[in-house]
Amino acid sequence: MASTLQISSSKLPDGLAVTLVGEIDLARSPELRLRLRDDVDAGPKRLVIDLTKVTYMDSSGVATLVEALQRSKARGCRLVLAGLQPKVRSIFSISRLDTVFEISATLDEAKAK
Amino acid sequence: MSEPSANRPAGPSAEAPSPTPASTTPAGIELRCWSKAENLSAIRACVERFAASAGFDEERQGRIALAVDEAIANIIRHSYKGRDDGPIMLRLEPLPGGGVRVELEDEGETFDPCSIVPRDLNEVKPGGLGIHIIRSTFDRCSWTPRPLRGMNATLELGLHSPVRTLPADGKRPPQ
Repeated sequence: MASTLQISSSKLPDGLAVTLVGEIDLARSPELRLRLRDDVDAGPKRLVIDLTKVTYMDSSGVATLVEALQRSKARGCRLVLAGLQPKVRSIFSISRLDTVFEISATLDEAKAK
Repeated sequence: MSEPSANRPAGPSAEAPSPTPASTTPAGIELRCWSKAENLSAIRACVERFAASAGFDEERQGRIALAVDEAIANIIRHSYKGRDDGPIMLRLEPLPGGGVRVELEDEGETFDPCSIVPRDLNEVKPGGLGIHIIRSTFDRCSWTPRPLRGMNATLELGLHSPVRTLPADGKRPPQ
């Protein structure tokens, strides 16, 4: 029973929404890292990462998102996390990163901002 | 793949990559698996079930599973340097008086997780977070070298222990 992670994306007027479904652990983080690197390098003004259907995230997933945040900032892209479930939100709280990321309650809220 | 063995892990074959219970007793469970990141999901599910049976609430079950995931990820990354053919043994036992004891054994390079510099939580950078999570989850954490090679980790959490947070530098105050 390995973790699974589905990654899909859709265009926003000013960027990209990336939707993740599944678990983000040491087995799945490498593919996510590559995908987000490509997405940021494509030059969107805004990158919304929809975590509504992410049921688990460990520190490798958090590290991947921190990398994406730093890469985004360096390229003038605004990165927003949306729809964190309590279990996922807790690891951001433990790591005190919940105040570092821009976080929206839902994907719709993130899109509307 | 051969039948699961109580003495050595089942081989890293495509047929059965998941951890195999080597033994189960009313008091605990022992799993043996290879150092494959793909095994983490099944291990987390097992740890959550055990924590539930030990009486922890859902939030604590998730936190214990996360911390064990981080401890095994450290073994994969640091003891086995990313190799996926190293044996790992996980033993879960109830603590007398309530709680859980987690034991992990590997045969990788002798590596002291205390040598990992926890990330200063005031800094925003990837990495160094796993050791924070392990130390802040359990009441007691110890890592000792095994006689020939590898490490033994023992992690204990009482059923009614308070939820802790760590100082930003990740260093636990002396107990």
